[in-house]
Amino acid sequence: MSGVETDEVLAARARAGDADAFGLLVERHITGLRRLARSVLPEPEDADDAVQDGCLAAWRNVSAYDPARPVRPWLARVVLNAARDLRRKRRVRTTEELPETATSRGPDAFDLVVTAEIRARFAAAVEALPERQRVAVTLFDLEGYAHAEIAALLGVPDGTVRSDLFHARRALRAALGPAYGPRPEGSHE
Amino acid sequence: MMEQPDIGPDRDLILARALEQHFDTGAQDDRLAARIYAVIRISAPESGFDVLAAWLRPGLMAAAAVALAVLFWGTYFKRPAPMEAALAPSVESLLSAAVGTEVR
Repeated sequence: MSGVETDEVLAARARAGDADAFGLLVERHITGLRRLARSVLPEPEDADDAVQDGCLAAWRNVSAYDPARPVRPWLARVVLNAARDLRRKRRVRTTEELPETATSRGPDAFDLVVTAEIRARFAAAVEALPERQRVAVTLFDLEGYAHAEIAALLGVPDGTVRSDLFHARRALRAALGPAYGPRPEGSHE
Repeated sequence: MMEQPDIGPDRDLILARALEQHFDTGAQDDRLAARIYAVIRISAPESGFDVLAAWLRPGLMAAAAVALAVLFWGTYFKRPAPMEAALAPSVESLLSAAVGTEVR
């Protein structure tokens, strides 16, 4: 047996009631799940609450997980639903707030060309995107999901995801402005 | 420009980096994972029976409510018992007594 168990093996153990296996799954995907929740909820604390709620819901209903399907989109869907539920509850509070854009990380190549002004403009552009566009661009460009996976997760046609990506990317690239630079070779919408 | 890792050609890596920074949650990932792990350790997953029970509970409540309503209806609008009906004077006999003729 190999040293690292696949998601599917861990999910099968979790279905059998193994909390340790489910904990490993959560640990493995926590970064992506937090980013997904953050694409719906501007407040990091709310996003973390949504991740926790979603993971707990997934654990409580792990018997409903279909072993024939990949684990990552299943977890993402549950967390996305939890984040949307929480956003509905927080809507009044969040509509008048913009998130802080500061990062605690040290400077890297990207930081050198992105000024605080661009960072703030980018943050505003991200928050100004319709939720579905924000989720789509996060899942595609940041998390590496395929169009079809995003379409299934959001419950919309493939073409809608491509359209959402087009509009989201255009808005975000405009916000990055000079920091964006020339498009990489071979890249397309 | 930033150095781009070798991943899918369709992804916009500059946007990915910008989004990563925007959504960056840093070293708190481990803390949140540990928090979730602590919660799931003390809450067992639902079995098939739990799901069925959760589904049945509202149905049982509805059935009990209907049964109570039927019971109430039956008690409140109770039809007269056969003995009471037999003792009660008929319309015909009352009419004949009033008019003074025998009813055939």
